[in-house]
Amino acid sequence: MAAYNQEDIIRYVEGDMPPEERLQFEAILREDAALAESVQQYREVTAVLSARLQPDPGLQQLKATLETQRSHFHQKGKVVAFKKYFATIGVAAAVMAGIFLFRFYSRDTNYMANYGNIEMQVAAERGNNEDTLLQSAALYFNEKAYTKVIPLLDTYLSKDSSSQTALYYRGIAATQTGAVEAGMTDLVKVYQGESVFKYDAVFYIALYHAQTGNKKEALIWLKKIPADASAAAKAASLEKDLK
Amino acid sequence: MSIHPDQRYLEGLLQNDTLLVQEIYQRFAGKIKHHILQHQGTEDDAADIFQESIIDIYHQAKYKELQLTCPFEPFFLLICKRKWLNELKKRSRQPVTKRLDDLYEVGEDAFAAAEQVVKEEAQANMYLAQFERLGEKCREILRLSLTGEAQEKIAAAMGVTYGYLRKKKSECMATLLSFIQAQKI
Repeated sequence: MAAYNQEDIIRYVEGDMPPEERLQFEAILREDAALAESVQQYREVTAVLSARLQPDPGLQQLKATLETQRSHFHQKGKVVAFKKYFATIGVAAAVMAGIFLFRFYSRDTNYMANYGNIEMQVAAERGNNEDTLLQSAALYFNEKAYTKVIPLLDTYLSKDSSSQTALYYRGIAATQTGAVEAGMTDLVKVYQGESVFKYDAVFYIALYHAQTGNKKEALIWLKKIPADASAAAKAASLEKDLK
Repeated sequence: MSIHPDQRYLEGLLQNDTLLVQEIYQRFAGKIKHHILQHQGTEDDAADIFQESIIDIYHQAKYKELQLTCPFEPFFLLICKRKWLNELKKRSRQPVTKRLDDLYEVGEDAFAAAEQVVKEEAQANMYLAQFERLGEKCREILRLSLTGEAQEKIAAAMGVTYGYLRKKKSECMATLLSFIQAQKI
């Protein structure tokens, strides 16, 4: 490419070459790999600079968000992968329990507020992509970002359609977002299965009916919960509130 | 190849979804911190590499319309690790000889995608660094003309003729290209 310098390349790409010179340039361009590379590089440089010299408010906002998370690198013992965390505290693989945090300031009819504060907890033991889906879903679930939970659990269930954990939490998330029919279908499936969520699902169905004023239906569902189920205490409490 | 559901991470970064950023830190900060502390780095190095990797991905998603065909985790961890390896080389320490994918079973697509992000972003940053070496006048002319201002307008604003502006722009660009060329040798 000795015959052409950088300024010629710029004139060519910018369309500033007279037609005759341009034809000549193109003829050499086809033969000369180094010249072709220089032309390509000029195009790349202008493309990068054209894009990145523009002010980017989105980038500034993202950088500010990243700064707020920087403390993750300076915490002692707090940043632990889910997998290790659960292994360390010896939670067995089978423990997949939803923890119901419910408050007892009853006597008002906002049953959902009193009994519906459910946290999603998952134990990761396989360390694969499916586990991370559940972990991500749990993060959003616990922030009450239910619309983000549903697609994650959809993906999870597409690979493991029998997962009672995913069905249970998807049922709740769907109900919370107003997709009541879909939510109830999931919860009924959990009730029909045999898992640790069986009676928690029943309780949630009862809770939904209580909240929507269908006391009779709520009581029918509450009656299905046996006295030795983990949901029995709150079921008794809700039943008392309803009466 | 079809787009992986983890494309949501890229979309979240483009929208500055704070919950998603939090998720990325919660899930991966521990792993990257561990890796970098094991390989001659500090907590601050780890935090910097992590942050730069997210910004690289943001840029690729924004300007190159990057689409994930593999899960986000191996892709992201590989970017962090590759960037750290490059940083160690830059600091002229003995680079680690371990394979990058020692801890993860990485599919070829994740590996190729991560390598491409790191390479293209390193190149873009090099272009920008060389741009910053130009004189103030050159930077102003190139900034204005590359970000879409009409040449006639720029010439008027700078109090020069249109012909002079074009000539100057071409000279500035030629200087920039020679700086870039020198970096590659």
